[in-house]
Amino acid sequence: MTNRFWAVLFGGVLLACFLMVALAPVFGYWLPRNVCVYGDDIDHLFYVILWATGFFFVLTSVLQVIAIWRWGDYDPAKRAQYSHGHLGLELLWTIAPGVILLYLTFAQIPAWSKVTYPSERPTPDQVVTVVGRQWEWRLRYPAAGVPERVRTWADGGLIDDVYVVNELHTWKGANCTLLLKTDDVLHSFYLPNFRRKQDLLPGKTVTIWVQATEANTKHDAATDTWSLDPAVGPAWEIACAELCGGRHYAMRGVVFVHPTKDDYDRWLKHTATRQRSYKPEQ
Amino acid sequence: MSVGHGTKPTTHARELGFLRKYIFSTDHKIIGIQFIFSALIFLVIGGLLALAVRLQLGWPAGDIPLIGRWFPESWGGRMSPEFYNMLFSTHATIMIFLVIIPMLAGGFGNFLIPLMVGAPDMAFPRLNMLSYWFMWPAFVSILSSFFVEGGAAGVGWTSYPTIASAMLPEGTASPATPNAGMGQTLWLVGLICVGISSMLGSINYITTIVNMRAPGMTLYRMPLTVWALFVTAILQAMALPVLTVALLLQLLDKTVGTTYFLPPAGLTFGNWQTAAGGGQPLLWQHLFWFYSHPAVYIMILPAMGMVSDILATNARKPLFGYRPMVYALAAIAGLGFIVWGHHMFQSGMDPRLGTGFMIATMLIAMPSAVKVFNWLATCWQANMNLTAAMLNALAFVSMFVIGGLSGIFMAATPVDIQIHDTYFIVAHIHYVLFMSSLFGIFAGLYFWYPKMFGRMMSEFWGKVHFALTFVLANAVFFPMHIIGIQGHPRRYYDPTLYETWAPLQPMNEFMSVAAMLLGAAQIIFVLNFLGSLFLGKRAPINPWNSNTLEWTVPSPPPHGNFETTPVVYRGPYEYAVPGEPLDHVPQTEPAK
Amino acid sequence: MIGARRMAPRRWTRPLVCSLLTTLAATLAGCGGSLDTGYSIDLIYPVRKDPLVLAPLPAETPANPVPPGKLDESIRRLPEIKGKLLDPDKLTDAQRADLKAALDAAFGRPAEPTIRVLGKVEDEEYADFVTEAPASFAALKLADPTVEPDDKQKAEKDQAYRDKTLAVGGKLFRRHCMHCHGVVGDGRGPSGAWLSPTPRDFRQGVFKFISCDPGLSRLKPRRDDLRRTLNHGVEGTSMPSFALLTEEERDHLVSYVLHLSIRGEVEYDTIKTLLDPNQGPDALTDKKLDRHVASRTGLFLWQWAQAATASGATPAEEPKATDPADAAFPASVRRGYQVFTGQDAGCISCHQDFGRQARYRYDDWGTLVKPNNLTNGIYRGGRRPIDMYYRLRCGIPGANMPKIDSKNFPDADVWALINFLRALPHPDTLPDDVREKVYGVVDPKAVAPKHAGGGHD
Repeated sequence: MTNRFWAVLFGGVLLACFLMVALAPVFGYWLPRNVCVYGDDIDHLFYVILWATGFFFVLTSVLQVIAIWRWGDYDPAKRAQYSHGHLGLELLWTIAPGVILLYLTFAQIPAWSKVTYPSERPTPDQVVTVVGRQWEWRLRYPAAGVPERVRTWADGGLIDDVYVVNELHTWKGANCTLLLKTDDVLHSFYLPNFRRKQDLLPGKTVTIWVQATEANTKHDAATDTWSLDPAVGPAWEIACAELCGGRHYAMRGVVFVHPTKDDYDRWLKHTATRQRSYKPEQ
Repeated sequence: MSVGHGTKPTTHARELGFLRKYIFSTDHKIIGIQFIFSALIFLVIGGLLALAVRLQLGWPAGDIPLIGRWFPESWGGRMSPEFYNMLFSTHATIMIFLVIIPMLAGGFGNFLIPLMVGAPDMAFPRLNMLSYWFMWPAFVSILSSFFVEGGAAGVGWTSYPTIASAMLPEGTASPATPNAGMGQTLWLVGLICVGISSMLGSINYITTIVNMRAPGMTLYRMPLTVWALFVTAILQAMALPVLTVALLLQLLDKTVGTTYFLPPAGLTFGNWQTAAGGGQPLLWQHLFWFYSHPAVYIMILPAMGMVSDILATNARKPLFGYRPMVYALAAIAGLGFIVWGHHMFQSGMDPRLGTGFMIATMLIAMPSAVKVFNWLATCWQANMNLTAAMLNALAFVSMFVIGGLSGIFMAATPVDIQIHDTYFIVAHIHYVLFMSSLFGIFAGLYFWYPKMFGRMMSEFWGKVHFALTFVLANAVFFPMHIIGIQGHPRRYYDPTLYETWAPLQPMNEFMSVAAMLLGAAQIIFVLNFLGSLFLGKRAPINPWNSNTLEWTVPSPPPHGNFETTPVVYRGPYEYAVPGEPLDHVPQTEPAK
Repeated sequence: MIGARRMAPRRWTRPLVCSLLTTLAATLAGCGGSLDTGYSIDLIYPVRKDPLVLAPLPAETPANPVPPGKLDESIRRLPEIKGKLLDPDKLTDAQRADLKAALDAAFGRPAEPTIRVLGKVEDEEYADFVTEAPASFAALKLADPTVEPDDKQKAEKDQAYRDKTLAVGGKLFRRHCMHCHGVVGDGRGPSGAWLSPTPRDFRQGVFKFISCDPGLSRLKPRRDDLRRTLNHGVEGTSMPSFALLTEEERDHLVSYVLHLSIRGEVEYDTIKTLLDPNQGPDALTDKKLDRHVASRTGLFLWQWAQAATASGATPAEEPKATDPADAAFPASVRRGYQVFTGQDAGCISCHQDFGRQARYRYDDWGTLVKPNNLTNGIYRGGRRPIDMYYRLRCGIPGANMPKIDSKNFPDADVWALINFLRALPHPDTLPDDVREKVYGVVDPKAVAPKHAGGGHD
């Protein structure tokens, strides 16, 4: 096993890693489709970091493979270059990464504050209470509009609230504010297609917001049911992202984005009516 | 700090019996080897647990192969989700607390520090022995936890309340999940013992390094291994008390009924209702990560130090940038204390705190970058001998680059929203722990084996082991970045329930196959390690022609290490010095 | 030392490494995703080992539920508090072997589940049920009702359809349900014993949430009831909603649960007969046991079919006031309050203090169950008014909540009671006098919230 062999091995493995990232999108393995209003900002930051880190990965990999190839062939008769260091180089590779990192740091802050800071939360068009429990999402919608005192409503509820399991309904363009609660253990409400996840804490109500930019729900007038439009592609799912016991993996939900507020209101009323049903089903 | 006062080596008045010489020894070398052997045994156990995890992930709908019939009938031949949770939780716990930390800090730290600084033993030899034996209650605790009611702890190595800490007013079983009962209590006890062991050790290392260096061994003539272990010991001494207290608080919540982590309204699990509380689950996360972030540096800094020494020796070239490397170690450790919140960006803590932690976290990449470039520069225009140790050290460098760069994605708070608790994190963890720390450990074992055991390991099989491990480990862990970007969550028993992640199943299967092969490849190392103890060629004093003090004494060194106290005249990296007859000049060589 | 002699590379190392890498690549190419192959063909339904719980149940009313992991221990202690158990351990080896053979023949194994009613049955009491079996299968949609008649061919087609349905259901059950409900549906899967309430034990053929008068349905639920449970889950317990499976998948699951339930009940009944001290040890030997199994299979199939074709509890009249804004609502709630607290219906005697101080009691499975805390707003059987109607008119088998019969309580009273129950968790919708009696305060804002912290719905 000569140094050439090792240089090829190192180079081959590092190249395979590089290719995996470069080719993954081609095979459809990549970020899930973004349907949230701040998703593009987050994805943009992701790509900036990807390019910056990609550059340094290629640089260090190439340097190492070259070093193994050229100087990996030990010869007792030869001598290496005797150098304890070089101030200029030290400054270069301290300051240059430093500058890049500081830039990356401050580039993140606008998106982070927009998405998470309470002070920057937009006025909600819709509020939903989400109770995460072992092992499902219980959602509660107000029967009409946004209640006046949202936190009081979130804690107590009103008699005509609409109860749904594992389904988040909203409409395209609506600012949907979610109040997340739990009574048992930590969960995390994760919407991959909305680039949003938030841990739920027992004893605390955490508020987040999402806003869909696309719709995925269609209404079948004949049966008066709503379903996901298969033309849109795979479902936009809800998953739990904090270990919560046995069925942590099974806390699956689906997001239904109605095309218009009218359609959403129609769904809400339909569901409310069925929930107040006094008649046996067929 | 003045150079340490020399001490006359001690000799024992009478010959010790087998027990006192090899089992209850106060000799730092024996203690170091004890740590190494225990850690290697747990490496095998932790590795088997990981293979079981990969078995389930690769074939989520499958039955338990081969040993399925040993499981209870009601399981129907299939692994239960709680069992799976237990597998990854104990895998991580064992690897972190019973393998990497004891191996690096306890094993290499104990063996190398006195030898490298020119001391006859550690400052407190009996305390040192105690630090090893405190590991045994931890071993017994963790191993016995597999057999208690409910099974071993299965709430993640992070053991977050309230799933880990919720208890009913009576009894020892948890309402939250079966494996947070007695198994979790034993887990807490075990980790408290590991913490005490590490704290005892760190006192020893700091005192020895500060007080017992040989004449001429100034701080800036110490090898990087010693610097790294020194900084690691300071990290341990300062961070471990916080973890120990946190573990104690959770233990009290679970046994005595305190409510440090129980919210005021109590918790509801179906019919079960806990008592009312008065605490906060989030408190645990702060306390835990205040230690566990420095812990990850505890797990990498010694390896970084060893890699620096191994690279310089095998490259036959001085380490590039000695002082910047030392400052970088200190910077990583110092910054490491103010970044713990980056594990908690999505936890429900005030997001403005997140911004602060992000800034500190991004900065920590700077000293790491400095180190990587210095290592690369050490290899540039060198005269490298690609021994097994050297290959592992070189791999450490490029694998650490990958691990460190993936950390930048996670440091960026908005991007972290997407990748937190996904396989991207798992990829990062394993690149820095398996492919950096563990490669560093392999490098250290191949390099210092002759000194420890007086025999040479097989270079050929070491290289075969390296080649297979290098290729297969990348095959297992690199695709995790990809599935993590797609949002594949971690700690999932069956991700195929989701339309978003079911298409990733071929990648999961590929990684599982590669993992089985990776596990098999480690047999080569085990056989090489154990076989060479009896069949290896006898080792000379200085097989690698290295400069540091441990290579001036016999392999293995006698009790008391040095016949006469060594005197140090130069730094550790005098290789390829112009005008010298040999390509290396040992530290004890007087100046002309 | 180093460099003195370069290690000679072995000839076969490069090919070795290359071939390993090729194997890896081939594995990747061959990876087509994992298939769900379902139960292993070697797996068999084990014969029951845990004790049978018999009537009468202990009268104790403990304050706390069974602790985690202690379900079987708690059941074994029932005789200490005057409960009655029957231990399958007392079966002789021969009896157990015969029972196993008969059950395996009738119900197959998890990978190949079936329901067969085998052989002629002379016992007059049960012969009819055996001949009724095909009709029962059809009523339960375990056979394809659209297949044209040709008796022998139809029977074969039905058999094949039934087996295919059950096999698909079994595979789904293994994937989604087995870890809680256990392989045989005993509620003792690896996760099951650590939940409270424990997952349903199907083996007594008793289900809580039915929509049919138990007198008509012989206490069996209808397929719709089981499907409703799958759709909505059981709120407040660990039974999740499976609405995200397709409707066809849920149908298959219902069929498989039926299969497990019938098998369990046949096993229960047969063990009871085998261990009956009045019968003598030779009561069910050889053929007699086979015929017993066949007759009971027919009987229980018939009961399920009766429930399927019986009409559900249908309200005779509709409620008058349902909206809290309606002027007649407060009066309706007051009437409901009267019914609830009155002697005749007796609700308050079990739902003490409206459920806030109810105590646990033993149910038919030997576990502890508590009358619901009705101020909580959690309704396990469903929160629609019609669901509440079913609970009131049909009772809750197993937990032994009695029904409210229509002779003494016309529908108007039941709707009034339901209005009261709906308003109970929302103090602001109660009339002032009722609110004061229930919550002790007149001002709705002064009522303490259900949970100070996150709250639970």
